[in-house]
Parts: sequence; structure tokens; C-alpha cells
Amino acid sequence: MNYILDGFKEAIWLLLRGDSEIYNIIWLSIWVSGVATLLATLVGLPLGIVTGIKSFPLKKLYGSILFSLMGIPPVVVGLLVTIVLSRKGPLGSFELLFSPEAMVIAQFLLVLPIVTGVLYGTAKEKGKQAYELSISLGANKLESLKLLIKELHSSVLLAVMYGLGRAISEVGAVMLVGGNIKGRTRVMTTFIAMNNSMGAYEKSIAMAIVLLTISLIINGISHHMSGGKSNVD
Amino acid sequence: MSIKCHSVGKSFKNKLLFSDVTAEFKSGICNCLTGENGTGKTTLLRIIAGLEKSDRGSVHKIGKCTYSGSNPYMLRGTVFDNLIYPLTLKRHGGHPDKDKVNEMIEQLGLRGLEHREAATLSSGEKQKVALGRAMIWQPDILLLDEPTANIDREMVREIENILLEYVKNPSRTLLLVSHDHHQISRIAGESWVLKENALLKV
Repeated sequence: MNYILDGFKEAIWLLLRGDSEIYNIIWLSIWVSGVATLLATLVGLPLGIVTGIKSFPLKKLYGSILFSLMGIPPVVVGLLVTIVLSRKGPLGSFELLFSPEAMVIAQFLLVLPIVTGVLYGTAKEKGKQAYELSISLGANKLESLKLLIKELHSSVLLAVMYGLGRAISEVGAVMLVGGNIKGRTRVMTTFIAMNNSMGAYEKSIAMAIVLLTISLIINGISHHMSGGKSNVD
Repeated sequence: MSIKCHSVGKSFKNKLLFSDVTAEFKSGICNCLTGENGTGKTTLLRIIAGLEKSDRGSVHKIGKCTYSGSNPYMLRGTVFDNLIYPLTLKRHGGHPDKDKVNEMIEQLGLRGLEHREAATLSSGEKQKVALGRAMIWQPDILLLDEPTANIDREMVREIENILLEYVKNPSRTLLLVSHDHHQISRIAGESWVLKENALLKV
């Protein structure tokens, strides 16, 4: 049991003394997940709302696929991105594999169905009524979209928080496409996995404390957004 | 500014609602539409409003048109926010006139509720807000689905007067769905019934 306690003590000391490696890793994790979530929101927000309110053939199938993709295993996404970005892959000439950009791409693909799916579900129910109201009151398309974002704002924030939470806590995809290279692609989750396998628990615990704190903050905000309920809006 | 329907037909989940609705709803009067539940009154209104597509036939209407459903959606915010929303739209000038909103609040007996969250109102109060929101930008065509269904009797008369006043302008057309035969006899310039898949003038 002592080694666990020592691990905690060492972890607190690592964080307090401002270890630059630790802080660089934290910063890279936030940057990669933040950019991936931002890009996924830019695409997923209009996509989720528009597909939610509009009727089109095979909408049920689209919804089922979307909801399935919300739970896609990160390693599968990591594998797909690795194949596409590897030297022999279709985008190999960009030499992006094992770079933070590749990690952003992988996390973007993980977060996109989450943002789109959450907004699709809400827009399908509540958004359609708001959209029809705005149209029948004479709003143009841009005004309708603005109204929808306003009406669904807690779902929008919730979708972003879910996405960010998923991105920052996943390990499979970033491990495969980033390679956990020290000073370049090492993020919190890959750092924990690596130190754990090496038996360096104090570093793992230090990073786990930070990751847990960030996850709790994100989840706390998500919970607040949903009004303490599991369903949105 | 009348509404002309030509051979409009619609089925829903393999059930025929109406097959050949051909009618002209005149302006300057109150057109009342009635019929049993499930005959497609709301669907016909939504087709005229352009919110739903018909399976066949066509609808011709000229001018600004609005539709207000029987279970109206309240926008986030207060009663005042809901009433002012149409006036903020570019199509209606984009310069909201607060006096107009206050006038509407007074007219519909909503004084005292203007700062209440619209979502917390009773069904009848929501219907009043929806009616005010539909009328405040003075559309040429007003399509109302049971606008007084949950409103108390005294207020119903007042709303009927407001609606009759609204269509005194000969360029305005009002098509209203109602199940209340007394109401229809009080306000209808022309009345229609959807029965056995067809629209009949009564």
C-alpha cells in the first residue's frame, strides 16, 4: 500500500514544482482536444440541426448510423486514420502521421458524431417546432438557424462538452496516430498508459489527478447544462 | 389576397385524409373550417402555410402568410420576447416597435404576464401569446388552428372580436379551424367542413 501513498505524494510534488514536461503534456492535450472539438462543432452543429429538422429519405437509417458512430471505439478510428495517413496511404504525401495534426484529425472524427448526434436528437424533437415557427413568422434561413442555435443553446453547449470530454480522455486513437513521442505527441492519456506499463506510478498518478480534474470540470459543466437530467433540453 | 386550393390531396401513413380539395377562401371574412378529429384539418392548414407538402394538387396564395398551431411553441424568454420576435426579422423591417408589442399585450389581456417566462404559461395564455405573435406583423393571410380552444369564455369573445376586426381589412384572409359550432355561427363569413375525404362548403 505504501507505494500508492508515495505515488500520491510524488504526484503532488511533481505538479507543485511545475515540472515542464508535465505541463507541456497537459497543454498539448488541451490544444489537440480543443482544436478537434472546435472543428467538430463547426461541422457538427449545422449538420446535426439541419438533418434533425429536415425530412429526407432513409432518415431513420441515417439516425441509427449516427448514433452507432457516437460510440465508435477510438482504436478503430486511430487505425483508420493511421492507414489513410501512412506513407503508402492516400494522404501519405502530407507526412502527417505521428504529428499533433494527425491526433487532431483522429479526435475530430471521434467527436464529430457526438456533436452531430446530440444536436440531431434535440433538433428532431424541439428544433422542428422552432424552425417551423420561425419560417411561418417570416424568418429567412440565416435567421432561422440563429433562432435554432438560441433555442437549442444548452444542447449545443452540452454536445461540445460531451465531445471535449470524450476527446481529452481517449487513449487508443492518439496512441496509434501520434505514437506517444516525447515532446511532440505525448498527451496525458498516453503518458499515463506508458508510465503505468513502466511501473512509474507517481507520474501516472500526477497526470491522472490532472486528467480527472479536467474531466470532472467538463462533466460538471455538462451536468449543469442539462439541468441535472440525463436528457437534453 | 384569397387562398385558392386546386385538387389538393394528402394521405398519411397509407390513410387517405382528403383526395380532391378545391376551394377558394375569400378575403375580408372569417373562413371557418370544421370536421371530426383525424379528418385532416390541421394538415390542410399546414399545406396552405407551406409547412407540409401535398401529395397532389396546388395551393395559390398571395401575400405574407402565417400559421399558428393548436399547441403553440413558445420561444425561450418572456412573453414580451415572444411577441417582439417577428418584428426583429429583416422581412418586417428589423426595427422592433415596442409600442406595438405593448398594444398587443393590452389587446390580448396579457398585461402583468409580459415579463413571465413564456414556457411557464398555461395553455390558454400560450395560445394568446401565439395569436399575438402571429398578428403583430400584420400578415395578409392568417391560418389559425383552434386559437381559442383553451381560453376562458369571456376572453374567447374578445379574441373573436379582435379577429373580426383584423379581417375587416379586405386584403386580409383568415382561415380558422374550430370545433365550436357556436363560435362558427358567431364569426364565420363562410364555413367549411372536412368530411369523408372531401371539403364541403356549408
